Amino acid sequence: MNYRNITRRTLIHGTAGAVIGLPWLELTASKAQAQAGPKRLVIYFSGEGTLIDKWKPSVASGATLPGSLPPMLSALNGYKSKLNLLYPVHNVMGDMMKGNGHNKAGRSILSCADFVGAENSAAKGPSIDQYIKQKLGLKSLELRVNGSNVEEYQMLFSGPGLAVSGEGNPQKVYDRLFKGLPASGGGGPAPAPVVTAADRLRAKNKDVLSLVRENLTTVRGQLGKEDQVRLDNHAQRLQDLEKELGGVAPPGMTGGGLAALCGSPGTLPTGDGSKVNRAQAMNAAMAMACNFAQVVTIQDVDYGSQTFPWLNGGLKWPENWHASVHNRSPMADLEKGFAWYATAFKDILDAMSAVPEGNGTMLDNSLVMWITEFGDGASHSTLNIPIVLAGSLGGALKTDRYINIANATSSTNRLFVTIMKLFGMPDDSFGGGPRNSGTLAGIA
Amino acid sequence: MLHLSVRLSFPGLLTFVLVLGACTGTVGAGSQAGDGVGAGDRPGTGGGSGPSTNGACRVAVPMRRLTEVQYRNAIRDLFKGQATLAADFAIPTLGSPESGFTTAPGYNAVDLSVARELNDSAIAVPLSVVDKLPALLPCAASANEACAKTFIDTYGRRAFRRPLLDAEKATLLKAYKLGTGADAFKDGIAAVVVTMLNSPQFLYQTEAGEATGGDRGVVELTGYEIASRLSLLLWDSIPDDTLLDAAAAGNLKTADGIRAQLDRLLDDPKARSVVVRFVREWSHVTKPAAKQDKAYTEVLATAMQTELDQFVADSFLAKGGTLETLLTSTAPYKNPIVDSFIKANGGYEGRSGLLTQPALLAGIAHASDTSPIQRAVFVRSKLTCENFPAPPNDALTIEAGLPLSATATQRQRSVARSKNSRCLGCHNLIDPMGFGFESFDELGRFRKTNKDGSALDASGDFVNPTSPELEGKFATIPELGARLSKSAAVHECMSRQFFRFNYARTEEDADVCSIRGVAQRFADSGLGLRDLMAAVVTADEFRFRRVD
Repeated sequence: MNYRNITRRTLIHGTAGAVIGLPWLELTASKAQAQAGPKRLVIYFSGEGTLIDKWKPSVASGATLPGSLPPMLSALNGYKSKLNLLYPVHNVMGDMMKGNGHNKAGRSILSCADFVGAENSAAKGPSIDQYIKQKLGLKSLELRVNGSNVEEYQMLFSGPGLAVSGEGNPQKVYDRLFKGLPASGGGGPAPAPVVTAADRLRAKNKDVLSLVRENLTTVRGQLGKEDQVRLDNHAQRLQDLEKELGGVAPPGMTGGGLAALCGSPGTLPTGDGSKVNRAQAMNAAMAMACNFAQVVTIQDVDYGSQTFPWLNGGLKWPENWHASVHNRSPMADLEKGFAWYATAFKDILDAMSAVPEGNGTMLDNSLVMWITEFGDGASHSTLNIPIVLAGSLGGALKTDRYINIANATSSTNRLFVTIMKLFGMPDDSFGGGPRNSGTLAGIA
Repeated sequence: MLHLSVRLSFPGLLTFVLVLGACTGTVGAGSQAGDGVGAGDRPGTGGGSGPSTNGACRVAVPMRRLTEVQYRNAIRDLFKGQATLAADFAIPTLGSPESGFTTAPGYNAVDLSVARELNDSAIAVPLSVVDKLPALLPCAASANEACAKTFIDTYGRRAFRRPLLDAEKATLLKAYKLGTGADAFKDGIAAVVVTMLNSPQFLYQTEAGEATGGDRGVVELTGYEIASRLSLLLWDSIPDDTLLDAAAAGNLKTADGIRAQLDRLLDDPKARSVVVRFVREWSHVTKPAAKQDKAYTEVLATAMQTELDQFVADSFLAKGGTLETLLTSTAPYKNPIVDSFIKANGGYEGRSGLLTQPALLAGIAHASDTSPIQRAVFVRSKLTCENFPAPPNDALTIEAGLPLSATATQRQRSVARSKNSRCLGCHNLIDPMGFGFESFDELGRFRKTNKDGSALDASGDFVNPTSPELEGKFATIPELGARLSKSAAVHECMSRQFFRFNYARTEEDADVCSIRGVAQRFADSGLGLRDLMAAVVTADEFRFRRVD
């Protein structure tokens, strides 16, 4: 998503009457205050599963979580009271699909859908994040960590065959969303406006895009049907872009404008993947504080050659991370690597907890799901997936629980239907496969 | 299409534990997804529609968006090196390319993030050139509308790769008029560029063609569309003015006219990076990953990749380079680091072109051992285009159940697989060939004994190949290389890879005609690799397109 133009700088231009008129400008000037935020969905994805015997708490289903979480989750001890741990959740569709073990797990993990065409093509239906966003008329932000290109782990789809990408460079996200805004919490004064050639060109961007549409029309008639569909899809994305540039207020903003705490996340940490993860978590939390997005995905894309250089100088695998996961060796290093993902997840919870909302924090008003594509990484099985849910959606969801899902009823479809119910959606089913309707018992 | 190929990240000894069933009978029999040219169409079996050299082939080609590489090159060439892309410019890609090559349309689809990135770049590029306009546009000093029209005509023709239609000129002139105030001219020109670079005419290869008068399902490409095909295929960039002028003169409408441009295109340095990209995307071989052996260094690994790149670029582009050069060359390595390394470690004995390139031998191997399975799968999937299914989900369980000690050798494991009903279907095709590569260790060094000093059995066997001339035992890799270079199955496989590379999709049954035709002309030419590329671009289907 892009609210580059909904920035302090633009607002200043706007008030000077110089550049762009924003129809909702008057809203933003008003007395924003800490109010209960909208419900948000955040999905964090890490690759290659986990070490399940070091993840699963040894308590009964429904019981309170132990004071000390198992080793793969110990970074989250401070958040114990806000968590639900679910196990085992089966990606049944992924297990039924034919194709490369990563492609089928990747395509189906959030869509519960088969390939749309040949093996390893895109998914046949939307991923749950995009579906919820569309149905509820929300805005989304797609972020990546440890790279930008997902290849086999393309898992976000806006519809059948329509893949959605994301941004792996936190500074780019920052520049698009927050450039020119003072730091969150009402820091110093905004930078003085200097109208550059770039500003003048950006101010004309919307007009330019409508001219691009003229060129699209010129070409379209010359194309065959399939190419027309692809061009129409491109045209639709340009229209989305125009809407962003036009300053149409995002849903949820009409009530009170930008929240009091909306601002830039401050200086982003830079460096290795752990810093990128933290920077993306900061971008995500502030984008939600500003109401620029209500659905956020953060995908760690390096499932193959992760070396965790931030862990005590890095781990040295005999081959690479992926092969080591297959071989279940060296176990000591695998434990360190898998345990780090809990730290990465904690970064997200920390950033969201830093934003006060109502009587609590943004985390309390949200549902933050940590999902991975495999239960047992060594066999690349899409069954027995461990799920961590954080936040209570404003009290709608009980927390501090371990829930053992009955094997014969478990599916990712039902997990997602459960989540949709928590968001007040009427849907009773999601995706394909034999267990695509109903909810997971014992959660909501 | 299958992405089994050579996933170097597969684990230790469990790699490619394949199932019986998918590999029974003949591997790659047309039932595999994406394997359009199936068993019945194998060379020598008399199936399919047979070789066609008479120009009857018609190929459907999807609209292709410029890849990131092509976009970068296009901006460079459009503004003669004067424009600068944003330092963090990067176009996100979507999923994996279905054809195996990064030109695949799905991989380059436009979602909102991509549209945003393209738009950001369309703004950044003109900002980097508007202050250099006098150098790019002689009339810039006049700063008037007439000069803007000159800019639109000149740069529009390069960017859209053909003269503009009146409607397009009018649209771009409207963009120019968005510039107002003190910097109206510069701002207007910048707005023209933003519009051009966001337009499908620039971003996509669209091929409307012209009616042929006969078959309504076929159009003849315009000379300009052929110029775009040639330059994007062989340069990963837009046509230069010479090529556009050839199109304007009507010189690209015949095979001979295209042939006349080919040497110039292939002699240009821009062709080298395209050949390197082709081989990397086809072979999946890049810089070898770390080894436990202390002889492995980053410097050596990088040198191996450089050597491989140079070897394939020379083989394809040097006049006189043939498939035999590619598969059997014994010439010393040009990279001094690799040359010294090989000389100091067993020397050049047993070398055979691409098959023994250190980057390939070290790249298709484990960290502390060779991988006979992956090396054999490389030959059979990349050089003879067989499709192997992905390992079954329970591969680990099957492997664990084999009657083997923990210290079993690769040969012992192979014997155990050959007796297991769920393994043998594929592994009996793979393993015997893989052991033929055992003369080369995991760093690509020649050896005559195993690591423990025991006698090395490096004989191999090409079991049940797709084409009978490939069948049988081989004593050395040069023997295998020579056999491959003469095989019609390999010629057809090369043609098939070029088909995917060129037309940005996996082949279908209807494309047998094109693939066979190119393979036949490649063979008839004496297997020159330039002739292979000539066969591709002078084929009838390069100038005609099937439409739906």
